[in-house]
Amino acid sequence: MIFATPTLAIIGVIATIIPITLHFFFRRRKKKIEWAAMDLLLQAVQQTTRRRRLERLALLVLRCMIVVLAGMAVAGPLLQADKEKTPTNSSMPQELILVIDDGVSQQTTHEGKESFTTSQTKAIASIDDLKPGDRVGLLLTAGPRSLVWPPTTDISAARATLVATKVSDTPSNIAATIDIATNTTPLIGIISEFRRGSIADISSTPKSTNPQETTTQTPSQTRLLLTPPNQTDVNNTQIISFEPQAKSPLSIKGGVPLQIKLRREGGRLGSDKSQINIVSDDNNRLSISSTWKDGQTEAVVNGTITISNSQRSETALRANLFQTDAQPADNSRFAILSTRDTVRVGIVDRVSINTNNQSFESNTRGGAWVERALRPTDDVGIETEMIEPTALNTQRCRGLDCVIVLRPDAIDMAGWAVLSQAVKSGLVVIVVPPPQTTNSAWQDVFLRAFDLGWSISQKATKSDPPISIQKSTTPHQLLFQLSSELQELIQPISVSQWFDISVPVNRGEVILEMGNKIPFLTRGTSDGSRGSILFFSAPPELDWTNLPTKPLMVPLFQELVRQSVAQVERGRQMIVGCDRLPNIISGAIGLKLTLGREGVVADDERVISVDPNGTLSQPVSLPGVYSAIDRSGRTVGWVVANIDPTAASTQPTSPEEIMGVFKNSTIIQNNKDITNDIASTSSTTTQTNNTTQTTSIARAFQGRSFAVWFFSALLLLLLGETWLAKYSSVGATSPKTAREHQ
Amino acid sequence: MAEGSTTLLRAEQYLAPETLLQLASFELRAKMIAEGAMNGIHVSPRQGAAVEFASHRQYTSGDSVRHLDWKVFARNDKLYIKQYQQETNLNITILVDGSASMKFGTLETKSGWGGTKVQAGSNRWTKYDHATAVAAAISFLALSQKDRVSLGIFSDGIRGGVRRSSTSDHWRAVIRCLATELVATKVNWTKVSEQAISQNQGNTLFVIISDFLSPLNQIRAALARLRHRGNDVVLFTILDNSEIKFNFDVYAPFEGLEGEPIIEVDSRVVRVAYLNALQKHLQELNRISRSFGFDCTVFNTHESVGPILSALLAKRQAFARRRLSK
Repeated sequence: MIFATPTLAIIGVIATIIPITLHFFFRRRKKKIEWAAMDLLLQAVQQTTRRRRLERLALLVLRCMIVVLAGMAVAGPLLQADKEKTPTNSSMPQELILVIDDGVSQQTTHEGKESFTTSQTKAIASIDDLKPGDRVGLLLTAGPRSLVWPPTTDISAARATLVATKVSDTPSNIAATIDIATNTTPLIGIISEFRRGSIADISSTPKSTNPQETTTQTPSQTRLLLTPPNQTDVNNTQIISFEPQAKSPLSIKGGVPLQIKLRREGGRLGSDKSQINIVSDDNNRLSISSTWKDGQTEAVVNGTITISNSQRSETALRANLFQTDAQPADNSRFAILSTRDTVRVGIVDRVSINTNNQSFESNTRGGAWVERALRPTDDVGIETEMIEPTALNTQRCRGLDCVIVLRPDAIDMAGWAVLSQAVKSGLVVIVVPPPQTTNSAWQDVFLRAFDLGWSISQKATKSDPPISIQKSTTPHQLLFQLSSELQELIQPISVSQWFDISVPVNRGEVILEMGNKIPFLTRGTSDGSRGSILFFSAPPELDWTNLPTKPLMVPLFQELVRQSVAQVERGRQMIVGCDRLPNIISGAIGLKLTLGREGVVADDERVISVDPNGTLSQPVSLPGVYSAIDRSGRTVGWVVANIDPTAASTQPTSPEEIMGVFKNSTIIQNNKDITNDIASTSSTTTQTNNTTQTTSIARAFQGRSFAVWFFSALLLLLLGETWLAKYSSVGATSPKTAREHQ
Repeated sequence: MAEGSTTLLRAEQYLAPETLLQLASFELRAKMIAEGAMNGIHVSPRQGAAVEFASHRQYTSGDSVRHLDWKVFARNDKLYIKQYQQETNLNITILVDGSASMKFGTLETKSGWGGTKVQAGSNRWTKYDHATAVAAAISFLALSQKDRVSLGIFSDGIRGGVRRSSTSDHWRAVIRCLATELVATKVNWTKVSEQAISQNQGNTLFVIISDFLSPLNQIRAALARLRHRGNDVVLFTILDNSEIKFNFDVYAPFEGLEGEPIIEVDSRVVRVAYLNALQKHLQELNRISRSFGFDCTVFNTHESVGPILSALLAKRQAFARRRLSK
């Protein structure tokens, strides 16, 4: 049973508080009466107490039921008709629940007509066929969004809302949309052309951790009526990737190398040429092209764009594919360039202080090794600066891409807190143990600051002979650039002292491991942090390891810094439709579109609010480069939102595949115009697993007659209440009884 | 007879509580009740003591010559002694309930009207007022017939009263006592009955005026004690109109006058059960009193005193005549 106006039914239920209040209010009326015959009265009370309580309770229940029933009766109760017995030409009120696919794949155009427009027309036709008193509910799959929900009898308003609806750039999430409707209706019509992008969330590997969003395990009593998939094969070319080549720093000197990956889909993939125009937000341009061979589906295009403004640290880029294809949404892609000449690294170490021409060595040799490894020459693009451990503060960390901590034992709690906060904003921190044994419990403070979940031994372990580093066939992604010669470089490395470290599963990854299975280099991340933490089990001291003197030292430290920083830069990408930042941007309170499809946007009005956890007030609905702004309107970071190429896929699907994806579903098949059949309350021939039956998306209700039953029950309850209140012991004694006792 | 009925009706009007209330003088009120009640019963209110011939018996030596019937001796020359049925004067003890429950009353009075001290505070005609009115009337009647009357006000014992006497001034002492005594506490029937027996030697007519709302077993024990000593008892049950009809229509706390706990009562709910309990109580009281040969009469404080009182007196007079004829 459902209600035409559920609010009234809810009000009816809430209104039961009135009789309950009155019940207790009247109990509390007290006007004391002095009485002589108390013994007799007590006898009478004892005799009537139980009966009186029961009658008062019955009266209260009756009154509550009256209020609830009145609310329900006014709310227009509608009894759901048996779906198998739904009268197809009934004059009874009907309910039409439509799920309309407005996902990005519905932007597919064939013969000049957009898929969404076709679906929209079908839905409008269905609505137009409804009669006054019927109800309609409309849900959109992108988001998903409740367009007209809960179902309403205001058909014209629902129609107007649907007409004004535009197709979205967001991926379809049909499963989640169905979940909204299945709570209230057993029959749902889904209108879509079912391109592969529409069911990407269901048919591909689940992207979400929420199983509700990737399953169509709808309740068994819910039946889905699907429009047939459009099996027309159309050609589409997508930009699936657009990134500066993995290199950090990305100097603008001599131009910035870019890499674009393209993919083609469709039935007729002949020889062709794709023209790509790249433009930056400060109007630097690059035009490159790709030539397709017959049957080729993927291509990589490289180019170098010249950035004229060297003052800016970050530049927004848009790549546009100038090619007429069936899907325009995936012809644009955006990227951010961190255009700077150098990576700035801070080395936290004790510095040498000269006093009266006498120097005392507080600078460890490890610090010198690291500095030399990072800057063997001046033109490597890495700048280093020494930071006194006690001088570590937010100001010093500002502008740094990476901090290498060589004296963790000399950093106080405040210093660790500064580093922890900076990691959340994207700083890469490399921690190296102190070369000498100290009384400081630096391990605990360090691990607690980053909440890593590791354990590091308090004392170093020695080994004679030294332990070599384990060779790995598949180098870690941070060392990918060294993969060709990594084995050779690792071979001479040995470790004679180290701190034992234990890393729980999912709390970090081992980059380099010693022969005794003890991690030598470990990487971890804190939840919600943009940056990362790397830990060496031994300091770069010759007493501990021969690493500083071996050829691996320079490329190892440089690659760790470069690739870690580059990964931080890449962690700013998200999919259109996302409602959460990929990483927390410190101080950001809003997102503002800076570079969109149409070019540079100067719209300060449409700002998406961001909470401190990185959650957006509304999902990002347009692709482009967004600037994160702080309270003063200053840009504190950049985020790029791109169309999900998988969700934009135009590949056709078959009815069998669709029915396999959607459980308990039926695809409407007919020889006539599909639109008319969906809308019609007359019989529609459908095909369900090779069986034919008659059904309609519109459901019939025995609505008004059921309201009559409610009012009849209400009348009976009122009569019962009157009798109980007047003639039972709860109410006044009847005149006849009174006479008998006088 | 018709005339008598008319007189009776008029008397009833006079004896209505509303009328009695307007009589500031307690004395006047009692006289009105008494004369109204006696209307049609006593031919002469001043009948007094009498000696009535019963039979003859032969003279034997030692008999007093004072009672020789000289007329028989003159006719028959035989000595016969005249024997007489002597009517002794009645000893009446009126016991008025002075417990706290007698303070109850719902008939409203006007300020300045006559009454007892109990009534003065509440401006209501209480059961105690009604009881004193009846007691005063009975004492007036009894003293008019030269019966000896004593009075006792009782609650947890006989707290005050007037000693037995048949003098003409005695009635004023009775009135004074009734008007000044206060009511309080519960009735201790055992103690009351023992004190009444000790204070009244010989056959006595006890007129007990109370609401008799105490436990019936206590009342039964007290009556049994009085019966055992050969006393006669008349029970006048004084109840307020609301106690008899329970005509409330409220949900309210009821507070006992004798220290009972307050109970929340929906009067509409308990009305029938209460009336049943009251009816049962009165029936049982009546049965107990009849089992001892006593009379029991219920007075409604909102109704006239006279008709019930006169009916009772007539009934007792008839009963006395029947016993005499035997």
